[in-house]
Parts: sequence; C-alpha cells; structure tokens
Amino acid sequence: MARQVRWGTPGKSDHYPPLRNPWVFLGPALLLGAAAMGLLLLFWIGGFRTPVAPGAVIGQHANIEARCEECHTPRAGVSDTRCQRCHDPAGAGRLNNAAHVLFGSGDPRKAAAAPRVDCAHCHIDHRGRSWALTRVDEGQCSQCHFRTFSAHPQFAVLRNHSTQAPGIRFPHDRHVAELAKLGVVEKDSCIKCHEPSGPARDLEPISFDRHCASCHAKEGSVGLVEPIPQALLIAPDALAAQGQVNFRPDEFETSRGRINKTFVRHKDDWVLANLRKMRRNIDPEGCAVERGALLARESQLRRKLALSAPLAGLDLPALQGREAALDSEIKGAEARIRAQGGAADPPAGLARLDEVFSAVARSGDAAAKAEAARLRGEIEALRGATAVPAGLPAEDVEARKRELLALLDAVEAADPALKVRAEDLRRRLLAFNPGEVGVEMLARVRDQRMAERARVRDEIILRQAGIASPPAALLVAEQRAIRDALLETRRRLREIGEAASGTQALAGEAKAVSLQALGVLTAACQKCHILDGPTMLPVRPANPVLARATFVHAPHLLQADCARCHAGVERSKQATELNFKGVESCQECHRPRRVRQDCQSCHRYHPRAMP
Amino acid sequence: MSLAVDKAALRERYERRLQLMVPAEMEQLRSLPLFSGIPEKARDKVIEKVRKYIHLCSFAPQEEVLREGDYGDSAYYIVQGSAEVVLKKAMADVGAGPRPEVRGGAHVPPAQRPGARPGAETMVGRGAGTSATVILSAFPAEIAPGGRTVLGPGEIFGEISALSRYPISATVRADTKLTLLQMRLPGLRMLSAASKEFKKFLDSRYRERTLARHLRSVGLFAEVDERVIETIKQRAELVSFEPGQRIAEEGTPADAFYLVRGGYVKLSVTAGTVDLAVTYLRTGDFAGEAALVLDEVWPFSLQALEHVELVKLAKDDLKKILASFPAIEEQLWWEMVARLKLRGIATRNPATSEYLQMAMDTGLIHGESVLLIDLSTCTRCDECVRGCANAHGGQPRFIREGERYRNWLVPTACYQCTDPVCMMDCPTGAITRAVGTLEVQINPATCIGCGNCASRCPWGNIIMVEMEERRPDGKHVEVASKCDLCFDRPEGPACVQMCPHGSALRVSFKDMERVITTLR
Amino acid sequence: MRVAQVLRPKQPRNLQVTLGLSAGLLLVYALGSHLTPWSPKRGFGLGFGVFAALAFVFEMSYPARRPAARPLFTAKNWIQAHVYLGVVALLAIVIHVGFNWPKGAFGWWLLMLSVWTTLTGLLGVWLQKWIPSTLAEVLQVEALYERIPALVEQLVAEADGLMSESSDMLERFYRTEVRDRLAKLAPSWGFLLDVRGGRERALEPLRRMVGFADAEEKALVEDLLSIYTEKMELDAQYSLQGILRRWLWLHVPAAGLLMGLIVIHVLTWFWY
Repeated sequence: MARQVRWGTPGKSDHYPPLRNPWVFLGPALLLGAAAMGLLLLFWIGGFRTPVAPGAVIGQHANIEARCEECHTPRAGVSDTRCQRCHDPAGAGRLNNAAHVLFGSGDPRKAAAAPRVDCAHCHIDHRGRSWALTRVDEGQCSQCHFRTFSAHPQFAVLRNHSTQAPGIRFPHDRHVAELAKLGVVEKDSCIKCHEPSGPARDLEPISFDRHCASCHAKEGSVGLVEPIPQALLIAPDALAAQGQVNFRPDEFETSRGRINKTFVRHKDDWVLANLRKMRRNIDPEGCAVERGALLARESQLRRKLALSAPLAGLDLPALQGREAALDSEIKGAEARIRAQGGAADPPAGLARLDEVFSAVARSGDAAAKAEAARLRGEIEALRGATAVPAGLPAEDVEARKRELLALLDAVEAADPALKVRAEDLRRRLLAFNPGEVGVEMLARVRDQRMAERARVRDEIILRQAGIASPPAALLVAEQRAIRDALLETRRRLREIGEAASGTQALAGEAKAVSLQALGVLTAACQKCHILDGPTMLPVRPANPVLARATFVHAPHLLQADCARCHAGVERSKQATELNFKGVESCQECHRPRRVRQDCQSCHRYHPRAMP
Repeated sequence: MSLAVDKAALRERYERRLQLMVPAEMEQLRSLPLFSGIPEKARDKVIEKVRKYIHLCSFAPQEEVLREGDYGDSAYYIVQGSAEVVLKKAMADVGAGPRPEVRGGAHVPPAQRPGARPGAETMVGRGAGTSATVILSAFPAEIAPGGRTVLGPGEIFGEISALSRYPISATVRADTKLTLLQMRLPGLRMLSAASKEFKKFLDSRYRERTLARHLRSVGLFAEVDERVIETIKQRAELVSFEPGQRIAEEGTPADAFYLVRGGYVKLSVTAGTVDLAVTYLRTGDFAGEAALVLDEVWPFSLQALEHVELVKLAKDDLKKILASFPAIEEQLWWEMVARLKLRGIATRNPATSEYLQMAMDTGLIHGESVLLIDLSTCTRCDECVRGCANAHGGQPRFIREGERYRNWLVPTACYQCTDPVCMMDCPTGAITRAVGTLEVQINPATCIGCGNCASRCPWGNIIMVEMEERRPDGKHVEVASKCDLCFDRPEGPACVQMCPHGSALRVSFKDMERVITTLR
Repeated sequence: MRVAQVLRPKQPRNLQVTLGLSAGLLLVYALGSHLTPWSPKRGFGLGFGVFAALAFVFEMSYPARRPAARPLFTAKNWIQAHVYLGVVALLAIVIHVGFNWPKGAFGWWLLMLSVWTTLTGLLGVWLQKWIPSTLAEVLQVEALYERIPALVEQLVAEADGLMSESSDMLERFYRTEVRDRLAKLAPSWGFLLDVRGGRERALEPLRRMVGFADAEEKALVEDLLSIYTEKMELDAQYSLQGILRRWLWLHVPAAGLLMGLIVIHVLTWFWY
C-alpha cells in the first residue's frame, strides 16, 4: 500500500524532550526595565533632569529649566512662594486667590475666607516652549463662578445703580443737536469726541483741550470772572511771586477794591489757587481730611516702596536678620490679637485712658474735666454692657475716619514731634475697612507678615542650596508704578498746601460772603463743573460699567456702530445716565458658536500691580 | 508521593516473586485432581506446557495471600492447609459504592451513576457501573460484611479476578500453614482450553458464586423471583470466544441472551459492505434482552474483541422456565414494553459510530481518562508539559506527540485504562491502582526499572526515565514514569489547568454520547 | 471566512464585561471633565493613572500563573484577564492624559510603549487563534518544534533508502533535483498567509516524474511524493510554531521597559 502522509506525529520519542526555559522572555524584559530605570536615575543624580521631565517649560522659563529646585520643592510640588519669587518679588500677595476675591468683591472678609488656589493649579507649565501659560482653562473659573456667558449676571454697576457721579454737567442731546446743526450725521457724531485711539486700541480719553475747547473755549477763554472784592482773594502778583501762577497783568482789571479777570482759561491757575484758599477758610476740616488722606497714602506708598526691595538684593545675613525681625513682628501681632480677642471690655486701651483722665484732672481745665468725666461715664456704661457692639455702618465709619484724620492733623500741628506717630496712625486708619473688627485687621496684618516670613525663609533655603536669586530688574516696573503714584500724591499735597488746622472756620456772614465770592469766581467753571460748597467735585471720566474687566472698543467698532449698544444717547440729558443696556447687548453676539465668550476675553483674574 | 519504603514488605514481596520463578514439579501436578479431566495421552504434554505458569507457594499462618482491592493475575488452588477469607466492606450490590470523580475535565457520564438506566437500546444494556470499582464477588455470596469464611484443600479462588482483570474482592489470609498452587493467567487460559473438566470446574465456581448477582444486575431480571434466578442459574451456559470470533450475526434470528462475563465485545451494524461499530460491551453488559420475550432478528452483529467469556441463555430454555412461572412472564412482558417505548425515542448519532470506531481501533476505548489536545486552539506553548513537570518535581509525565484524530491530538499520556495491562508483570508491585480511584500510579521508590510495564503498554504511554544514580554496571538507574492524574494535587490534573486556551481536556471514553458532545 | 471565525471570543461574556467597563470609564471621564478641567496629576485623571499603573503591574505578573494558577483557578482565566485588562489599561492611559498628545519626550516614550505593548499583545492574540486553526485544519502532520530538524533527517534517510532500490534514472533524478531541497528545512513567512504555499510548485517535478516512471517505479515515486509532502508540512509547522514562539520578543521586552519607565514616572510625580 502506498505510503500515506501521517496524521499526527511521525513516530514517538522514547524520552521526554527538554523544555524551554520559561523565563527566557521575562529575564530580558526585567533587565531592560532595570537598565532604563538605572540610566534615568543616573541622569537625575548627575543633575541632567530633562529626560524625566514631562515636557519643556515655556520659553520664558527656559533659563531656569535645568534646575528643578528653582520651582519644585521635593515632595511638595510647586509652591506659590517660588512663583512669587519672580512674579511678585515685593511680596504684595496680589497674585493669590484672596487678592482676586478682594479685587472682585471689595470685601476683605470674603477675601480672608477665600480658598487657597495654588498658582500651579491653573498655570500648568512643562507643555512646550510655545505654550501660553497665561491661558487658563475656563473650567477653572467655573469652579467658583457660573459656567457659560449666557449665565452672566447683569453688570453690578447697572444692577445696583451704583454709578458714581461723573462730577460734570453734560447733556448728550444738546451736543448731538449742535453737531447736527454743523452738518454732522448722527452716526458720526459720537466719534467727534469719543475718538478711537490708535495705540491704545480703545478710545482717546476725553480731554478739554482736544474735544471741548473747539466750542467752549473760543480764542482760548472759557469765560470771565466778574469783579470780586480784593480782600477776599489773593492778588495775582502775590501768587506769581510764590511761583504758583503765570501772571499776565493784562488779563486782570482792578477797580474800586475789586478785581476781575477778563480771560479765564480752562484750569486757570489764579482761579484755582483762590478756590483752594477760600476752601481752606470755609471748610478747613474738609481740607484737613483730604490732606490727611493724601499724607496717609503718601506714607503707604513710601512703605510699599521700601518693602518692594526684592529679597534678591539681600545677602544671607540680611535675610536672616529680616526673618528675625518678622518673627518679632508676628509675635507682637499675635499678642495683640490675644489681648483683644474674647474680652467683652477692652482692658488695655482703657488703661491708657485712665492715664489721660488723670492728666486732664491735673491740668485744671474745667471744660476738659467735664468732657473727660462724660467720656468716663460712657466708657463705664460700655464696660457694663454685655452685648458685643455691632460694627458701625459704612457712612458712620467714613464720618469717624474724617474726624480722626482732622484730629490727627491737629495733633501733628500742635506737636511736630508726634509726626511719625501721627503718620503711623493715619496709615492704619487708611487700611481700616468698614465692617471689619479690629481683631480681623490685626489678623490680616499678621497673616501678611507670616507670608512674608515664609518668603524669606524659602529664599534662605534656596540661597543655601545655591540657587541664584532672581534679577532685580523684575521689580523695576512695579517700583516705577509706585514712584509715579508717589509723585502724583505729592503733587496734590503741594496743591492743597500746608496743614489747615489752627485756622478757624468762617462762620455766619463771613462764610456767606465768601461763598458768594466763590460763586462769582467760578462762574465760568460752573457751566460744566459742579461745586459742592467750596469743593469742586472731581471729574471722573466715563464711569466704567465694566468695573473690573477690560473692554476694548476697537474690534467692536468694526462690527457695529455706536448706537447698537449705546442707544438713546441723543436723548440723554444727564451725564449720570449710562446710556447702555447691559449684559444683554453683549450676549447678542457673544454666544456659543458665534463669538468667543470665555471668561478671559474680558476679565482679569489678578488685580493690577498698582491699584 | 511518599518515598517512605517499607523494606520488610518489599523484601517479602521479592521473596514471593522469587518463588514465582520456580515452576511446579511434574509429579506434583500430575497427582492433582485438577488435571484429571485431561485425557491420559495428552496430560503430560499439557502439564509440560502449563507448568511454567504454575508455581507452588507456601504461606505461614496469618500471612496475607491476597489483599482486597489488589489486582490479581492468578488463580490459587489450595493444596494443603486452610485459608481465611475476610470481607471488610459491604458489597451489597454489584457496582455500589461511589464512582470516583475524575477531576480536571474528564466527564462522568450520568448514565454511569449507580441506579441509572443507561441507553435506550432495548437489545443492549449496560451493567450498573462499568468501571474499575465494580468488584464482582468472587467468593461465596454468604459472606457478610465483616464476616469470614474458611476455604480448605481443593478449593480454588482468585480465578475470576484473574480472568476478568478485576480487583480482588476480599482479603485472603493463611489460616494455618498453607500450601498453594498459583496458576497465572496464561496458564489458566491454556488449561481451560485443554481441559474441559477444568473449564467446567471454573465455570461451576462462577455459576455458584457470581452468576446470580450478575443476572440481577440485568434490568429485566432485577425484580424477578428468587426461584427463577436459581433456575436460570442452573440452565445458563457459560461460553468462551477467541479474539475476532463472531458471536451473533445481524439478520439471523435472535435466539439467545448474552451476558458478558469478561473481555470486550464489539457491537456493529452492517452499512453496505462496511461494518460500522455501534458500541462495545464489557463485563456486566448484556445483549439480546428483547429476544427472550419477542421474536426478533439480531439488529446488530456481535464479535469478540479479545478473549471473551459470556453467559448464554437460550430462548427456549427461558420459555421452559417461564412456563412454570406465568406471572413472571407477564412481568417480563411489561418490562419489555417499557423498553420498547424507549426504543422509539432513541436517536442514534451517526457520528457516535465514527468516534467509536476510532476509539476501538486506537484502543482509546479502554481509557477512563484520556488526555486530548485540541490542535485548532493549541498554541504549542508547552504550558501543559511544564505544569506537569512542576507538579512532578521537574519531570513531565507525558509527551505532546501522538496520533491525530481530526483536530484532536492524543498525546502519549496514560489513558488510565479500565483494565490496565501494564499492571500485570510488575515484579515489585510498584504499579498499583487503589480501590475506588482511577489513577494507576507508579511508586518510584519501589520501581526497579525492569521496563515490563513500559513494554506492555500498547501505546507506549509509560516512559523509562534515567535517574542520576548508576547501577553497579555503570548504566543509569531507570524508573518507570507515567501520568497519574495528579492525584495529590488539589486542583486536579495540571495539564488541563495550565493550558491557557483550554485546549487540553480529559475525557472518559466510556460514555460515547458525552465524548461526541465534548469533542465537537 | 475563517479569519472572522478565528477572532470570535472564547468567552463572549468577558468581552461584554470589558466593553461595558470601557463604556463606564468613558462615562466617568465625560463627567469628570465636565465638572473640572481634566488634569493627569489630580483628581480623576490621577485615579485613572493609578488604575492603569496597577493594571500594568497585574499584566506583568502574568508569569505568576505557572506556580500558582490557584488565585484565578486556571491558566485560562489568567489569559482572559491579561488580554482584556490590557486593553482596558490602554484606554485608562488615554483617558489619564485627557485625550491629549504628550508634551515631552518622556511622555511620548510612555505612550508609545503602552500602545506598542497592547498592539503586539493583540497581534499575539490573533496569531494564537489563526496559527493553530490553520495548522489543525489544513495540515495533517503534527510535530514538536524541537524535533522537527531530526524528523526531517529521518525523512531524508527514509527517502534515501527508498531511492537506493530504484533505477539509476530515478536515483539520479532524486539526487540532483529532490534531495537537496528535501534535506534542507525551509521555514518561510509565506506560510502564515498560505500554509500550503509553494507546495504545488515544489511537487511539480515529482508529479511529472510519475508520468515518466514505469509501473513498478510509480509506487516509489508516489511514496517519494508522500515523503516530500510530509517534509513540506514540517516546514510549515516549523515556521508557524516558530512565529508563535518568537512574537513574544516583540511584546515582553517592551513591557519590561514600559514598567521601568512607569516606576520612574511614579517616582517623579511623587518627588516633584
């Protein structure tokens, strides 16, 4: 029979064939894994960290990429302190979530209660050189706020009708009508004054000289000043001698003890100087308050400037010294918190008062004694009260602030040696927020000092690890801003003049006469400006509807004309009117699948460096 | 496997085996009444031939001759002395007792559970329990459990176990100093063929002791009156067939009822010119039940596959018997009607026959637990072999080679035969199968590596493994090794458990229906 | 088509569970990414990363099935778990990174190794279904891989013996045209696509010879044909079983390397 191809195995072995080693694959696999681990660990130990990094850092961080410890703390991730080393070297804490909440709500209690959000939570690096680190996923905003633009509430300013008075009289309807008479079509009348600005991408700020002078200051004069008794005013030549005025004698006329000016410019310096003088006489308290506020701001800015020296400039012993100083400050703050907290009656302050009372008793001034006795009675009543006194309402706080500022002004005038103390108190007064109890403010201060100390400690650690300090150039912009603000404050202080305390306020007839003279003096100004007694209200241009958001007109002007959103301008009589519908007009176009409506289009998370 | 060696028992068995090397003396044999049945002329010649299978053994009092559950290959004839027969366990019914679970995938056909009525074929019946655990009583049925009886000179025992290759059903111990004539199986067969007297002698033993019980296992006779059984017992004929001999032809009138006493009988039908095997009958099975009551022709042929011993009951005889017991005839008739009903429901799967043919041709039919590998899912990863090696100290017990049948490979792994031929010639008794289990095990401590089992296995499933030790002549010591179904492993056979694709199965070829559904 | 048949899952329920689980994971991602911006290093993203890492550890412990199949009862359960969990782990990785591309070299290594390991694993699944099915359905001969060279030698010896009894012409034909190719085991990648490939062409000269041979030689040539066919089947067996053994080199070393990188990845996350 023919040989067949077998079914099955050809023949059988008589012994068991040897088996393959089952570990023949796993061995090399584990070896390969171990080799990879070993290699990477060697790299890591040798300082070559980029192989294990999840991606390249953005271009701006490239110079610190080689050392992970610049940003990372072992086992603790990326702490805010590290980011702040370069991005907030003054340690103002303006980049954290509390600052954002404060920026948004203006309520420090809310800010204090805000949750901590790490910088690295939203700003995620290691995504390549050209990643936009400032672009944050909108979902992060949705964690606290609403999810889509369609749910955006009406703008607070409109909702609360809380626009500030612009401080100027301006009826849009009359001006539009005037322009129409000149042949300007309604559509184009807006840009006659609200000019789109090239560099700023928004509208040029309204300035008298650019936009109003062409009609209101024919030949450069806004009007004239009727004769006023010279005795009430400062003579122009006297002012010129002080260097405050440009004296042009031909503008002035004197006759029979009265002086009048025939040519009044906008912001006429003689008129303004006299306005200030009269104000000081009529309302010295008001002046003192304003001055005090300006002084407080000045000292605040000076302190800010001093503190804004970056830690980079300090060497190790200096850093350690600063740490020690902060330690003692924190201890002090905590002691005061403990002292103030819990007690129904404030013991420490009252003890000081006893000293004052005994001093008054010894002085022999009967009126002062009576006042002291009355106060004492009030205090005793307070001591007996069990209820915790409620916080003062906002208006009362303002009034109290004004009182205290005036008082401090008087104290400083009386005793120049107390200047420093008075400055300190003024600064603290400025920092005070309505509705906030003293303890809370102390806690705020203490927390700020502790954050500062943490920064200093971190800096010490980094210095000891040999990591270079960030360059001082990072701070230049911030310091410049502070300096600019300081210069502005000082300029206004100079304008206000010296301390007005000691001057008795005018009363009764003299006041009336003065006020009347003031009226005549500022007759030309009052065509547009508003005077509240002797005080000219500041002009606030274009109440921002978007108080804490950016809005740029330029791209919107390309899409539509002004009347699309600002309807009813041609009928608007008051400058206080907003002539703006609100968020609905935005939502017409900023809808899903039409125009971008992510949070970052308009809003900033972080407040600006210099408020 | 425990390596503790009972050296004394080993020595004893060795001595015993030595005795087996010595043939009995001619004179002694000639004087025995056993051989009286042989014609004078032929007697010497027969004795000469048979002598080398007959040995004289002596036992001291209380020495164990046969142990219950052991496999025997000899009949023992008491020459002198007395032997005590002790039955430890109750053997109430043939086939009673739990069938051992084959773990790891071999299927226990429900038909083979005790009391089941397998098959719908009315002409073919299975014994209740067709496995190694069935122990036919080879002793007087009067032995109660825990009881004992004494056999004296002239008695013979163990021949049923030898002829049917069944475990010894009771323990035999020497009562007094005992002299036995041990007749091994080839000798037994030769003698049965040569001497009608001897055959009659053996048959009468069977008839007395076992036939009744055997008949009771047939469904038809299960409830029948005791007297009928007695009569049948006397009237039944005990016949033998050589391998290949036809017992019944398809188409001829069925005139007898056959009960298989020992050996395998092939049951086939003729399809055209080809003989298609339908099933097989082994000890305890029967054929031709219906023929006793109805007038039928044989619907199939019966052929002896090997040396076969049958009990034949002719139709006429039964008719005569039943004439005396008419009530019984009616009872039998109603039994038959029930079975005829089942016949109508029977569906025969043509594939059954094909698989059966294959199983019979290849010998798989003997297998209680055959390892099969499905080549259409096997990835040749050797995990089965590795698992086997891990379970056996680093040495696997099977090779992934063998015959293929369709997509199934039958590797060289022990089939755990129902009647293991490998156990027959072991000089040290290292290869055993305990009562109630399926696994045939080799004890490596007692195996001397003679290779008898390996050469006896028809499929070469036993492999001789070289050990590190060397014999005095320089060659390595060898030990026989075969699959033992991982009997000491709780999860069962490692090969089946370790195959990741489920390609390795263990099936029992006893229930072809189950085999078909498994192998499809 | 056998290709489609071969890809049928052995345990459909496991496939269903896996699909359900995958859908569940995607749902979790959809929900999580809606609530907060997705980040791999916090919240749900981190959870998915941890899950994937643990899944990979389980995958690597696949060799543990050998000594201790007990925890999952059989090696079958182990492989089912290994394959399905591997796919789920890859999905978990992709969700972990928020369906973004990696941003650095390390991230690319991790992602590509994960994808490679999973894909080669799935390739292995297909090979382990296709090759046995091919071998069983089309071939008749079966042999142990290590024995095949010896079997080929045996076949050559058998053919030599057969040809030594034949005529000179036949023997010459055998020696020049047949023997070399018979003696050389010739595995080929082509067997993967067509396991009977090249058979007709190789047997062509022999078949022609049948025509030329006279009556008594015909039987010899037909026997030779059968031997050659058997040898070709052994070639196919050798090739395909070899592929089944060698594909693991694609899968396991990559998995090992991936494991090492995962360890480093976890360490850097923890440290930084």
